[in-house]
Amino acid sequence: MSARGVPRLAPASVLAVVREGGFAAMPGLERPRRIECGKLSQRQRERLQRLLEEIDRLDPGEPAAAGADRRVFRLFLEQPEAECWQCALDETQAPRGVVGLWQHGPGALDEPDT
Amino acid sequence: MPATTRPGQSHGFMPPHVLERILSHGNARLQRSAQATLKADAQFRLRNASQAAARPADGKRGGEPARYIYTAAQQEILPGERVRSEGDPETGDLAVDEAYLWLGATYRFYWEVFARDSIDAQGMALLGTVHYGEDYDNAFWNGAQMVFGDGDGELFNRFTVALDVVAHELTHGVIEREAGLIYADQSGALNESLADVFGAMVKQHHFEQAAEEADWLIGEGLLTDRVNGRALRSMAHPGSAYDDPVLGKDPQPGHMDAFVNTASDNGGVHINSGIPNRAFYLAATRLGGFAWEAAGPVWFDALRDPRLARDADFATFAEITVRCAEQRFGADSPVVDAVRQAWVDVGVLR
Repeated sequence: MSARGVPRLAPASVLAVVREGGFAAMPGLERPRRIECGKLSQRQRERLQRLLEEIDRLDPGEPAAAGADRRVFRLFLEQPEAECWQCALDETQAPRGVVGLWQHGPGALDEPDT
Repeated sequence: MPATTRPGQSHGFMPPHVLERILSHGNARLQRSAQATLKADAQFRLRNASQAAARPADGKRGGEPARYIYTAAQQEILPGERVRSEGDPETGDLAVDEAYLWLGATYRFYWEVFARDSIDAQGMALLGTVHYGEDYDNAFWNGAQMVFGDGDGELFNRFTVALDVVAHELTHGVIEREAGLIYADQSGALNESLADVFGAMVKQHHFEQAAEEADWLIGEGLLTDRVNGRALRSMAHPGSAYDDPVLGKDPQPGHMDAFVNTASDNGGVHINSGIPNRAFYLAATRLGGFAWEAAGPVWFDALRDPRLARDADFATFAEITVRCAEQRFGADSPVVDAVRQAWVDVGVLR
């Protein structure tokens, strides 16, 4: 495992990115974006690995409870035959890369600032 | 904290409401751990809320709001640059001027109907930031101020377009100060419902609509013409506000028989709020006239009632509204019957 707890991504790894909550919480907006590592290029997979390690280093804890109608990103990394990993981030804490993954899928991993 | 689990293990987070339950019921070791986590969370919140020293002046006297509107200029910064303060003329920026206008209408509602001077009943300055983020499809209360996105223009218009949205967010501040309802599960759905209830009443008060004339929609005008929907929520008919290929179908239930058990969105706080929302609608329309004259004061009394625990469920809140109706209007009043029957009709009371 790298960083504190992110497993090494394998071709069979699948990352689900969910954004939930908010004043306009609606089922269509909460559908998970699934990033299948087997469909990523080597470069994209490495960038995704670095992004997950960055989040892990942030160690954000459970999203801050202050206020109401806040949105939260939840990331679930599924790994057959290996440890799974998950994280929840208040959207104000989320790196741009996470927002990009939710908005654009794997294509966000080709953007310069991801 | 990020967590690793073996395949097949349940994925569990430790939300604040669970930590608080551990504090009251767990063993000593768990209580120490929960206390430390909650302390860290409180410190995080303090760091992220607007600094008290930086806050502009509160209102000087009751009945006079102190509004301050900021622009984030499409960035995700708070509070941003101040662009309109109390008494300033219109700026010509729609979002800025709507936020100013609707915060004023909401302040006026609380003052004229309940003699309440702002969020904290002590003239607290009303801070609103508009133009938050790029294509930002949300509005929220961050514990210190209100925040409004411009919407993406495809699905959502700007979030200041609807008075009830602005009133909803301000009311979250009132709820936080009065009841501190934990934002998860049934207490979280009550929190959301109360924000909708008072949001709807602010709108009806501003436009002088009786209960039977009102549309009882939350967020009308927020969805663009490309969306198959009228609003975000319907208090009269939960589950009927929208049915769209992209946004999905409105999932709100209007009866306990259809209560949705889900871990998403803090236990479905924006879903199950449909049940108490409909109870208020039923009570208000059964009583007729202006909602803020009978049903509204009962709900307001209940929100401020010391018996309302932070983790209250629907049934507890319902019982409190009945007691409040008795105290305010008398045990033989038709208001008591209307309130009790409304909760029976949505399956919360028997």
